[in-house]
Amino acid sequence: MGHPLLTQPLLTAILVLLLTAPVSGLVLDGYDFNLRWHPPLWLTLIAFCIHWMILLFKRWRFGEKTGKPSPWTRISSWGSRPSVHRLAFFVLPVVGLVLPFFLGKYGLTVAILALIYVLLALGLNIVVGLAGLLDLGFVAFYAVGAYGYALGHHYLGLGFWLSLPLGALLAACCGIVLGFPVLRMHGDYLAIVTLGFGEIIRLVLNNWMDFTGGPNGVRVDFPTFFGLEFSRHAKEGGIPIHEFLGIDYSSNTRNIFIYLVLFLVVLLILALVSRLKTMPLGRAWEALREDEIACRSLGINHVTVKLSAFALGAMIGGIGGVFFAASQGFVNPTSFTFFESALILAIVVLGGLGSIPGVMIAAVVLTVLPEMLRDFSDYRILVFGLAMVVMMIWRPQGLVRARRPVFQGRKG
Amino acid sequence: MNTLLDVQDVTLRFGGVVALNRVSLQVAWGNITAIIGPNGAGKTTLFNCITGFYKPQNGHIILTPPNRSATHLHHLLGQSFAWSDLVHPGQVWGKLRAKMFGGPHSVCRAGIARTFQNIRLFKEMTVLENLLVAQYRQLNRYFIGGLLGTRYFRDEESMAINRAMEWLRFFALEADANRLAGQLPYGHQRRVEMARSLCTDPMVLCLDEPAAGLNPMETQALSQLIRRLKNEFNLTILLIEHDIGLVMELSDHIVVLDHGEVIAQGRPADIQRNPRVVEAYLG
Repeated sequence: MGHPLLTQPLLTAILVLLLTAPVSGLVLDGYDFNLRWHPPLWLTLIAFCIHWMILLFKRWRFGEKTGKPSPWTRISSWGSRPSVHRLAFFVLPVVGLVLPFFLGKYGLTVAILALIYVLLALGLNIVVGLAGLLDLGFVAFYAVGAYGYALGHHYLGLGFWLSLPLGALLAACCGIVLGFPVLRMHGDYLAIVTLGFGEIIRLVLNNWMDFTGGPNGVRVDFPTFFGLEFSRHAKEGGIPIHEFLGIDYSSNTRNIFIYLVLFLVVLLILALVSRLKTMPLGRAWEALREDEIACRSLGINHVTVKLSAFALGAMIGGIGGVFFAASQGFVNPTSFTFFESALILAIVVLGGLGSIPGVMIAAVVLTVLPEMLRDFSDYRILVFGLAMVVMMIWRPQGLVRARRPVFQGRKG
Repeated sequence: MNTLLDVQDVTLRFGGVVALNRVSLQVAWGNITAIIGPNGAGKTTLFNCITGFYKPQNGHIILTPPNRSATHLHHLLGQSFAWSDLVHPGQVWGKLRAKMFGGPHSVCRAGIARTFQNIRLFKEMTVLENLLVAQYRQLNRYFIGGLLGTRYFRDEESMAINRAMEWLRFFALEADANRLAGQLPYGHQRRVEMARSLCTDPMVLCLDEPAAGLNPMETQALSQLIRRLKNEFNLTILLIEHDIGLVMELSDHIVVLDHGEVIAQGRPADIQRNPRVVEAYLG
């Protein structure tokens, strides 16, 4: 039944089950694993009860909400040419899924990199584009995700699939840690602090030799797919995937696999971010960007709203980092310099602050173009700078201007 | 007289400057109370104290809704801990909560909404979105439900749109619903800001110079709207205004501030004849 008092806790419980079951329910035993049902079920039950009690308390305290539904609905935020957008909506995922099978090894690497930058740009777009918090140290969260996977693997033996949610969680926590001291800051001051934060993370990774391996970096194991490995010869007891599928070994298989998983994650994050824009939280972010004082006068707690923007942006950056580590097989601090932060910020600004399609296009263009211009590699940064200047003169609002949702009265 | 908002002995100093000096006033339920005075008298400062943007060093601001317990608004902004907390450990939790999560937004949630002297709209958002942001508290903010677009989420969203459209209709702004707030003419922006603050479902509406920059026709229309707000919605209205004609016509009670002190208060007719007010302000 559609009663919110039960359905909402139920959805929470399902989410908790999905997230905790792999962590608490599987016990590795050599190359086998045993299922344990009790811990995840208990956690799920506890989550259900807590959420249910919160809802009951709220109803007791504030009473039931009443009101009439409106004949006005949001028609679209797709703008004047919905058919073009709808076409892109169906064609792009298919193209994206088929693409890796036609690309060579080099092409695949570039494609993976482009998708990672799409993720990073979507994450920074939340912080800078929607919430208006200028963040010059976004690469820190990217590094946290990548090192979270690498070190988790090195010390705790965590696999890729476990690292994905854990790395995201770790990065989100870092986002909140950064968010607290900068709650009162705006503009330039905020930019300086976040810049410092990014450098701190990099310097810690660089200098803490005992733990992170310093400039030597950390080797990362490649992901597996339900225990199937992508190497030519599996470790003792394992099965390589080409034997399992009965195909010839190819070093591309692994990259195709990473690409496909990454592509699905990008689609998921894309859905999440575009939903957020029409949810109360997303609107509150944008309102915070427009005018913080007005927001507070309207009963919006700027602390939680800001922290949620930092946390969600950082989470997406962390996921990007995990994929980066997985695709490279090796991480070291030189991948997380300030230049990366500047590049991601440039992507968001060039694409159009707050505009999801614009940011994605810019991410792909700015990663693929330098690869195509390898012959001019000496002038790459020059061309990049020129492109920025030209864009700022020609289209200061970015490639694609962020669209506003349009509401219309229902006809008939 | 049923006092809804009670300001007692509020003192606010900025360094050596005394911005408000033992200001006391009562706002009756369902009345329109105007605060007038020369520039720099501390009117907007008093507004900022009432709405929680400034924290007065001394004094109390108490909101007493009919049939409900009183709220000390200055408590919502967080107070310092004292030794007496050891005797009343129950207070500590409340103080801690206010310190961590308190602020102007808690004052708004207690039922006081405001507009600003220099309009503060979300300029890059549409008018309807502006009004939806104001309903943040009333909306279903359950994250997963919103992501999945559950029926319950959509229902609450739809109710919010309905409330927003009703206020837009009230202010004759229906045609502007999908326009960017920053692109509207000045007079419309003033009305959008009022509609937005009303969307928070307040008991007290604080209007900071609502008629500034409006032509006489628009001022007349505004005066009618404010009167309708009082009569049809039982709102208590606190008004800062320099247009004396509007103030005299609308208000039930007038408070005159000068140099951070209340120099007179009373009914419009009395204020007009008060020699101190004439000397300080009316001229």
